[in-house]
Amino acid sequence: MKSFVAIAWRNLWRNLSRSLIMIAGIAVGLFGLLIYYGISNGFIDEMVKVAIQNELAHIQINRLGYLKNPVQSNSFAAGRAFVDSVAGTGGVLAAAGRFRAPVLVNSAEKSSRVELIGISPEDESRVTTVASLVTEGEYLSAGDTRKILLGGELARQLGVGIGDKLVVMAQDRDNELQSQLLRVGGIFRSNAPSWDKVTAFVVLGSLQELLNRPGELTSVLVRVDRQEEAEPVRNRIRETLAAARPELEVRTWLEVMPMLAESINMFNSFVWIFYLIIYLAMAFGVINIMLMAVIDRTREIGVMRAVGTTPGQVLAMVLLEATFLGLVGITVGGTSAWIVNGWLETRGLDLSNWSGAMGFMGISSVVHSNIETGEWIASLVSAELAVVAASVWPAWRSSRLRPVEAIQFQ
Amino acid sequence: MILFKLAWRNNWRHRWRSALTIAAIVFGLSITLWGFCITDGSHEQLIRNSVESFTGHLQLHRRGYQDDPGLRKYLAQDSLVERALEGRRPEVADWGSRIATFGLASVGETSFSAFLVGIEPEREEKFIHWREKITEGEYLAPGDIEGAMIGADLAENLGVGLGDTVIVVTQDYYGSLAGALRVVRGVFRSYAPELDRSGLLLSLQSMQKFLGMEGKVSTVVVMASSGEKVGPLREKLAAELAEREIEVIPWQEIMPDLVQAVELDNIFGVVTNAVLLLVIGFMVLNTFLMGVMERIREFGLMRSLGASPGRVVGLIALEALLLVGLGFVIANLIGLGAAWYNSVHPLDFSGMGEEVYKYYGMDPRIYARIDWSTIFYPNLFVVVVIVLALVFPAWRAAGITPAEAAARRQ
Repeated sequence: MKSFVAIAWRNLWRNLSRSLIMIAGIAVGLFGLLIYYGISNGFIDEMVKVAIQNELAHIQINRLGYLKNPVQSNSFAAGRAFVDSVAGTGGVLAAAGRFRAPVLVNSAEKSSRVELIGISPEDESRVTTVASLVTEGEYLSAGDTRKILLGGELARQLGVGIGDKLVVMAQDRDNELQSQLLRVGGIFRSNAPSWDKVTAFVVLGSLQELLNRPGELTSVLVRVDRQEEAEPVRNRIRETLAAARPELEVRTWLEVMPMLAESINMFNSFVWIFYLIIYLAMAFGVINIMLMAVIDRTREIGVMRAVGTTPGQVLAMVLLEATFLGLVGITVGGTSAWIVNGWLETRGLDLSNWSGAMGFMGISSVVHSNIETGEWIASLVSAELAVVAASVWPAWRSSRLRPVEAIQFQ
Repeated sequence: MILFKLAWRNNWRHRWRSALTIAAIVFGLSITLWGFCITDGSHEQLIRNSVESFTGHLQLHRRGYQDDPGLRKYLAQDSLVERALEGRRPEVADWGSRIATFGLASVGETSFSAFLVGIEPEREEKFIHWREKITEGEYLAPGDIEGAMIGADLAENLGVGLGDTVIVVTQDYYGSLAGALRVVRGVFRSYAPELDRSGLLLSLQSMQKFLGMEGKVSTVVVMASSGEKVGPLREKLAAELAEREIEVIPWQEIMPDLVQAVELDNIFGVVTNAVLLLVIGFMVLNTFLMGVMERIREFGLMRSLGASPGRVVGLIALEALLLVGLGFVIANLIGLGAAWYNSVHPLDFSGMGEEVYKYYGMDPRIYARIDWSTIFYPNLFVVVVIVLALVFPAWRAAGITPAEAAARRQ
């Protein structure tokens, strides 16, 4: 058998240019696939990261029905003790209560509709990244009951800067229109201008007071250590809340925003379709070259068969040649993809020319490629299998040659 | 003629190889053609939906409104703009005036921020086709002062139905708070998720009265007779209206994110298809090269019988042309046939990502669009790849001398 391995390896290099061209074909295909895979994963990671860090957190606790109908009256009573007890659940890194209400914000001459979010500044900074997004002025602190933190795009639209006055108007629990004068304490900028355009933060207590809903929250956001822990921790919180607070529901970020889960599936489906198409294209090339190789060697194979080589050995020899062809192509393609992907992972792919479109998707303009070890292995192994599978038919054909006829082949 | 016969027979000498090469070209090119038609169709649909949902092809405002909108930047509702637009028919298909601002809409104990738009019902019906978007109730009558049309999601969130009264609060032209009661006449659902979530439409007269803006409008929306006319029309109108401090903004500048998203998607499409066609290109190169290498003696003989190098190259090119020409014909038939099928029976992505499409305001049923560019560019790219694949084999064949050929044993 060892000699067949040697023969197969040598056979591969007998027609140098032909083999090199096919190797280049395999390498280019695999390179393209891996780079696309990495960037596609980078898009997903970025989308998930931004969504979790700014808005969703890993787990949310809401009143049943709030997600479908996010109105004030769908809030729930939850004081400090409630948030602390959630934060104390096993696996929870931090928890923060929020009250969210649609309001109208008026500057001297303009008005804009805003999703005003009441937060406990310290808790919030441990759960979401809002604090780190502040680019002008300061983040809120617990005593800042007369300050507001505005999205950059919103501040621009209202034509206000740090220290300027704004009037917030909202309907309170008794349907009375309430208004409050606030000063701009800080301005934040996330990667998503569309979010910055409609979002503002105030201290939880002052929003509760404005709306006459003391001690009420619309959601509690929970952060866990790693994304994968969201589900087990959700179950734990559910168990502890099930009896005491049946009116609440506990959901992971994927359940809160099914659109994200679908986006991930769609990105992945496109990757699979691309793999399938490229593998088929490679297969055409491999069948072509292996068929040429065995037809060229018809006489030779005939002689081998005549001196006692079995059909199985001929089959193995041809399959081995294709295996080597695949291995060399995959080594070249995989290595170059490894280098480029490594660069795209650390430096990132800068798409700031299309920052508007990226903001549309809610992500920053620099996408960092990411291919997990398992994904590397799956890609390389499946590419090799595709090459070998494509050579089965030429190999089978050559193993069925009848020695007497083959020797006479011109 | 003899050359043609030779070329045809040579291709037949290697039936398998020729068939595989044709199959690979058909595979790569037809997928690319179909893919381009599908992407182009989805982009066109996305743009058309956005333009016809609300934006229109062109918008006229007081200079500076686009960057920094406000009620104070108004256009006088006089005959000058009207004359300019009427004078540009038939390039101007339709137009209508609007006033848009943000406010708060409340019913009972719930309130939501609302995007308030005053429209000219009769004019706007001609190009926005509001009636088709109405899911319940009726369209606004031109002089209707009390009525309103409401976005489906806003209606659901507020819990209102036909005949219910909505309280609308906003800042008026003078900066003071204005409130009004409006009766829901109709509920609409468009392709603009933003509008469904927050849109509240009043008649222009009603809005003018409400905000103290009699005789003033903030925007004139213009629809051109076709997409291609938008650019030239914009230039003409801008020139005519420049003295009046009026800006003419095309949809591309109103929705830059959309333009970028389409561009980015196109780049991804081109790159992925380029990878596919390169893989196919290497295979074709192999076929061409083998076609030369195994016939060195034959070409040498041709040369010694008096054929010029050009004639040898001509034979090779003709062989290639016959081979790939067949591939092109079949690929275009299959690729464009499939695209044509999908231009009648849309490709339905709703099973894959209904939420995603809803989120971005897109129709999950994608109609393919066959256009000269979706036919031309894939074919051109394959032609370039094949010509490149032909260069080396042809150069090699032209260099064969009778002496070299005679020295070859085979």
